[in-house]
Amino acid sequence: MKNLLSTRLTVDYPNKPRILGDVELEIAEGEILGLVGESGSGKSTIALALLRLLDHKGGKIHGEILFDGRDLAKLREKEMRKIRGSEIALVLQSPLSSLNPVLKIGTQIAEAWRAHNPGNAKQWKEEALGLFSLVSLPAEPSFLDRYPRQLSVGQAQRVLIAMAILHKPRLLIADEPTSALDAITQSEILELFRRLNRQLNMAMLFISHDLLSVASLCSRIAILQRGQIVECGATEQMFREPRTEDTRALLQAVLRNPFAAQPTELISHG
Amino acid sequence: MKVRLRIMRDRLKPGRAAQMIALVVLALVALASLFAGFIAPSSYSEQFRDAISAPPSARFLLGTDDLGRDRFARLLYGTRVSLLLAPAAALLSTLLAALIGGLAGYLGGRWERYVTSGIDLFLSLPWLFLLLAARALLPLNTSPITSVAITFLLLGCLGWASPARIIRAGTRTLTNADYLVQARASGISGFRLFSRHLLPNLRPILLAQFWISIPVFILSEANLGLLGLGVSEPLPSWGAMLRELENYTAVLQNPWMLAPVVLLVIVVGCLQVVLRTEDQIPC
Amino acid sequence: MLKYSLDGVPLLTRGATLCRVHDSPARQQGDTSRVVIFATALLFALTLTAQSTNELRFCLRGDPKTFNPLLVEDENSETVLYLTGGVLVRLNRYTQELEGELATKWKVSENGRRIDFELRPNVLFSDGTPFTCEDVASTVRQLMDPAVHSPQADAFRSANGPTESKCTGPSSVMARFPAPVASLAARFDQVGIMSARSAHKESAVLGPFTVAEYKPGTYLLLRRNPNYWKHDSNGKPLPYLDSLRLDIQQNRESELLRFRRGELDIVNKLDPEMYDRLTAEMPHAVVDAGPSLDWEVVFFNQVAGAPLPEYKRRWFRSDEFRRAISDAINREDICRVVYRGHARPAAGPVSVSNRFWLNAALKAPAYSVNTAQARLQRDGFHRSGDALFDRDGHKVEFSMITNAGNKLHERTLALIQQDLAKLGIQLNIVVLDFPSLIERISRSFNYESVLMAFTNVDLDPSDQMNIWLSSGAQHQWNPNQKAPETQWEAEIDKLMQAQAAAPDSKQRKAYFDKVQEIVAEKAPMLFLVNPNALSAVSANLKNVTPALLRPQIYWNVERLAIGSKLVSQR
Repeated sequence: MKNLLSTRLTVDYPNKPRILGDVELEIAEGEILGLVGESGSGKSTIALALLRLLDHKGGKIHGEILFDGRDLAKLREKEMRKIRGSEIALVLQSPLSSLNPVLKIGTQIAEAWRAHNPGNAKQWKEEALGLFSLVSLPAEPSFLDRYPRQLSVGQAQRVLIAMAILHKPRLLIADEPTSALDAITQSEILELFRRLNRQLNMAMLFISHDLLSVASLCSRIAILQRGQIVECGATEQMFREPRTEDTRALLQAVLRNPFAAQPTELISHG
Repeated sequence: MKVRLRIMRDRLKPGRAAQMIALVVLALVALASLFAGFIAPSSYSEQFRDAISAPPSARFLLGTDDLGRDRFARLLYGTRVSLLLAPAAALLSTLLAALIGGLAGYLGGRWERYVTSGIDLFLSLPWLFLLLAARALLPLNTSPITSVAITFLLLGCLGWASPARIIRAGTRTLTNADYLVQARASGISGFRLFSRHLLPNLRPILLAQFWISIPVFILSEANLGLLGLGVSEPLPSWGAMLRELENYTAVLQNPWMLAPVVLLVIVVGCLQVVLRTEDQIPC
Repeated sequence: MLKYSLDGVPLLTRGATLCRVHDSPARQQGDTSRVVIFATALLFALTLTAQSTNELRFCLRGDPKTFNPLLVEDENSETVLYLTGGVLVRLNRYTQELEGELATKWKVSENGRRIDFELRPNVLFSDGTPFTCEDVASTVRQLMDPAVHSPQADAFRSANGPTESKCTGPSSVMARFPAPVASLAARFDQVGIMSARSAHKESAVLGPFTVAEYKPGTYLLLRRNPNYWKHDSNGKPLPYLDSLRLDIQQNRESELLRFRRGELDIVNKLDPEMYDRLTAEMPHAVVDAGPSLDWEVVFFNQVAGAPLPEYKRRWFRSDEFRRAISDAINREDICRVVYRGHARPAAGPVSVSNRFWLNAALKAPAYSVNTAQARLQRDGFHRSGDALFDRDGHKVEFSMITNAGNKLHERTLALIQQDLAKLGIQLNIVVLDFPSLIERISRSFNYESVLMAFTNVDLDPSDQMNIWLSSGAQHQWNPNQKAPETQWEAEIDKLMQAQAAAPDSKQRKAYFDKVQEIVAEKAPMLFLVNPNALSAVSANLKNVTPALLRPQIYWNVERLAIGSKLVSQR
């Protein structure tokens, strides 16, 4: 498989240098890579760094982000903007706060549509309703008139996913997309990702601290700890022969849970 | 039939009802001032020198001022001037404040530092003298209406600094909001992000700044009269009429002189109700 | 000296104007200021019980700028000088006659160049040192010393040259000036005699009171001069009062409030509106002394190089145009509506109250639209529709400026605006802060016409020299002319110089009568009204005989006395 993304990244914050140090990631076309780490390990920073959205927080990126042969780290802001949303899309972890509270759903989708289709700005409605049925949302025009606070968390997450895939991106970065959801919705969303991955041949970087959902979705897993990738490999391999102490500890945390399903069962799903 | 009933019920919700009443009051005030010529029997400038400081009567509904001019006519024409120009100036200053303060908070970093010190500098300038200089630049033969329009324009252009400070702080807390990161990640460009995604979230602050400015500008216009700016004789304005209230013993004896204050309170109150209710997102 | 006046309040300094402007946006804080006023009032009420009851209290509008009698320029210092300074002769403010004070006799000679004084014997300064002819001689020398820059010296300095002053005997002194000085003796009313020897300098005075305490911005306390020479007819030493307390207070509303509470004995200058208000409450306290000497005038910009369109300069330089405007202004209405009856239409520069110098043949222009229209027609103006046009078809529209914060002026202008509208003239009223107004009328000449007040403290026409001489800086409509630009201005120049040089006052009056006639005929300044001198006096104050001349109420301060404090104010 052809490599879609390959990076070697270091990120500094003014008050926190080396929040990420020499992070190497590779994602093949159509592949789902899981990125696992504890809170504060720098997972979200990776998501934002790949889209070069750290400027605002004062973050500085060194290294390279090779995407489809281009180094995103060297692109000018204007060119980078064209890639955001159209080639690489992002879904953030808390669905309700990721939607603008004062704008209607329709307006927000229209805005996202307009960003890359300034020419035929009116077509967004059709596209949106089409995607709504794809993400199992009511494909009714009246739904577009709702405000975020009139949605359930699950609906909001589906709206965000619909927005993210509006331009059929080649890479979807999902930063803890399920952590705010209840168990049932969580599995529905995971199923949705799986389907989208298959139907659209869309590569994904699935970031989570939840090893189990990662294992159920991803073929490969990278483990991030204190800003560094400590291990990276096929899911099955990692569960069988964890190479580092940290991974082992992580796995054991899952295995000791009496209510957790057996990892082996889950792997067979993947 | 059912549809109509629902609309009726909708309108009778407390918020809606208050909004409707406020709108009607505002419309009545606006109409009265627009058709002042038909409503008021006398012109606003004609001096009835045989009836100075007269109490209310059938001829002069609110009595006459100390030059024998019909207070009622002056109130209506003054409303036309102030009610049109003060909100316009408030709108201008709020927009400027939103743009400057909002951008500063939105861009952050050194821009924010520049703008913050810019605002401090602006607020510390000796405005009195700058306004005097502004008056010196105006030709002496400006018509009263031009003069008052220029004054409100100046007020609008100068009034942005304090609200900009508040708006900058408000923006600062919003810029890290998830929905802005999300919008940015959708490839939405900088200015559009600011105007379409950030500004609407500042609406409560902007509206508050807007309607606070209106009475402030009305009173500032009156005070600028002392510098030779503002409305000039014989044109009336609320500010000029409010200046008459300095003489409080006369006000106690002639309570009808308070009419402009009452009207000011009613109008600003109504504006507030209308704007606030509109701000509520229907559920 | 003739001085510009703000809002008819005499001699408010420019600083004070700015303060007024600063002040006004803060007026909304009325509540706090009222609390402050209340607190101060309470404080005064408390101190009142502790202090001697024989004290007269009134307000100054600001701090006196100097206690040096030779450097007095502002009204507050003038008040202090009047209360503390001993003078050789005094113009009796009531009779308008000259009376001897420290001089018992005087004689003017050499055509008004020289004056000889016979001095009162056995007079002591407040510090106990004796008053001698040497004190007078040295005071005159200092007065005329160019290095001192005494504002009072201007009246004596009609030409350059040395001034001589010396003792001519044990109690006689002479002074000789470089050129004749008009009404030389009366000029000494403004000259406070200073001690030549006393170590206390300025605090050693010859007047009825001495400065005892001064807290800038708060109050000034004057105590009676124990060595004051004057006695009443029963041989009782004057002054009767033990002390004067002059509170420094700018806010006139609070001044009035304190007067009504009985915390002040005098309000020196009331505006007509306050006067009427007070009349309703305390009809016995108010004093209307009749028309003052002050001017309310309108004049047009006739300066050759002024930034004006040529056609407007032509209007303003036309006698007929100016007189038409004058005829079209309803002076009676200004008196009645603006001044509530407390003013008199003015015929010219001399108020009806100035009995000697008034040219009684002159009357204030009678309000007449027809006369005005006839004049304009003669001058080539014509009416078309609502507007008036000059012979070249220019619409007649001009601006009139006045100082901000003066309601009387603003109202007067509103009346003039409507009066002129009847002629088809559009008058644009512009209110300016005082410094900008002065800048425009005396430096940039960027104005068209102006309404302003002048305070007049002197009866003598020589005091108006600066206004009438075409070379004068205060020749307002066209100042500092190298040579008179018009014939009538040349004639006024000649007459003013002639009256100054004339030895006898009848002859001087004849010259000045002629000046008044020319001014009436050419109308370089439109004299509108003489506002009345309005004041308020507490019923406790005895021996008050209000006069027209400043200081109207306490001109006879040494004879004023406070009645029983037990008598209720209301």
